[in-house]
Amino acid sequence: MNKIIRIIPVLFIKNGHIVRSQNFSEHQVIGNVINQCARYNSWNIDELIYIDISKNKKYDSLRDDHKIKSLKNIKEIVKEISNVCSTPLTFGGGIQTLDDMKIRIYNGADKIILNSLLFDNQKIVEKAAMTFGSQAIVASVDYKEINGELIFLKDHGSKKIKFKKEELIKYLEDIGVGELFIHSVSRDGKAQGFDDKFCKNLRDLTKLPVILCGGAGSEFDFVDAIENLNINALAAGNFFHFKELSYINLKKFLKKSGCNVRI
Amino acid sequence: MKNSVGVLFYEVGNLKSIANALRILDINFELIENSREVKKFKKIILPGVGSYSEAKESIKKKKFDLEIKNFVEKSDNYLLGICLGMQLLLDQSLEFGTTKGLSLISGNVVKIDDNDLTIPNIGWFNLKKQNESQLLNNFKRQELCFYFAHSFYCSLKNNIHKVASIESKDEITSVIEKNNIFGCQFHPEKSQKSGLKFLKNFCEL
Repeated sequence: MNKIIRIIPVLFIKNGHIVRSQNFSEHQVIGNVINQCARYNSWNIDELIYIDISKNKKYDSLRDDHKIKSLKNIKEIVKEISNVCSTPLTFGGGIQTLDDMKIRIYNGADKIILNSLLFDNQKIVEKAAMTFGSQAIVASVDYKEINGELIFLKDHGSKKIKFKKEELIKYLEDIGVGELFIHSVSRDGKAQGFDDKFCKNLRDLTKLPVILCGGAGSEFDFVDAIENLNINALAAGNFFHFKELSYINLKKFLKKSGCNVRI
Repeated sequence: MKNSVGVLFYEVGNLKSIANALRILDINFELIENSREVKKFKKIILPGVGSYSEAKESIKKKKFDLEIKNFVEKSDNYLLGICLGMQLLLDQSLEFGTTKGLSLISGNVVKIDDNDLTIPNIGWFNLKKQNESQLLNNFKRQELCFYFAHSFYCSLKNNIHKVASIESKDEITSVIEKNNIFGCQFHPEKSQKSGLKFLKNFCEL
């Protein structure tokens, strides 16, 4: 069977606005949450990932020129987004409790992305997998390469986790995670191509579906990753933000290059 | 209420998204919170995402189980189960021990063990038609692509009711039709235009 590779735009939300991201730290406001979602949905996208990187959980009113009422909290944001979106929605960032997860899932999210919580409170993650099903729990595996070694990170990439790759995968499977979101922090926003360090030979270690994110610079980077890595999805943020119809054109390019994508 | 579609309301993940999809389609619908309301409708949708046992428990507590069984006795009533909602129509599930289902269709819900697929099985898949289908008959081949997210699937006793499957090695059950009872493993509410068309077909039966 020739599996269909999902192509997923990632949007970063900071205090209610869409921002671009580089190395997890530099942010520039580039749009309104709801308008961006409607725009992406109209491109017949495979899936959409939102990552909330607000540190103070204050959601500013959105600019009036977008003619959209201000969104005070994440519940309203999820609700409004799901109103204009008939594609799978994944939310990540700042999720600490079972209630945080319920707010997202019962208001239209299909999956949640966890990172720090996976390591800080495995009991909650286990309970979440039981309640919502493993298919709803995505683990963000954030890593950096230092002297040829992969270092795994939590807390917005600021703290190290003492796991080797095999140990980490085993741990995530055991607590009920249903999908891996592989994020190379050192490639974030650099447009130098997807990193293959983590995903090489990954299929020998796990049956979990894998989304690879970070580093997309050109259409060729997508083709390279699809041809050489046994992944299920590729995700990118900045790549889709600045060019009109970038998503549709990428899909056409991939199809022409022989990749199995949904048109 | 004759023309309105009832969506059974209990604490599950995809309820809000199904309501959104029906709103986009401009279909009259109501959320059914009380089981006594079920008999007022000609069409009902049973949503479902999450744990089989918790969903079954919550359906039982609201007495939806009995009302659903009465509902499908009438041949001009139509029921659609979505994802876990379809799995609930079978005899039992083997997810975390054994949980009894509604036994409207013979078969068990079992863990995916298909080398073509990841576990959970997440993503878009092309369907392969297995039998004549009322809900898929106006679909072009390239439109038969839907979004799936599940670890268990419906293994039917009688494959005549399996009208479509995933194109994988084990041909995972994707659409079930048995008289006035319908089910889909994928999420029509999350499958863009194809999904909306599928829901529309059910609502226009």
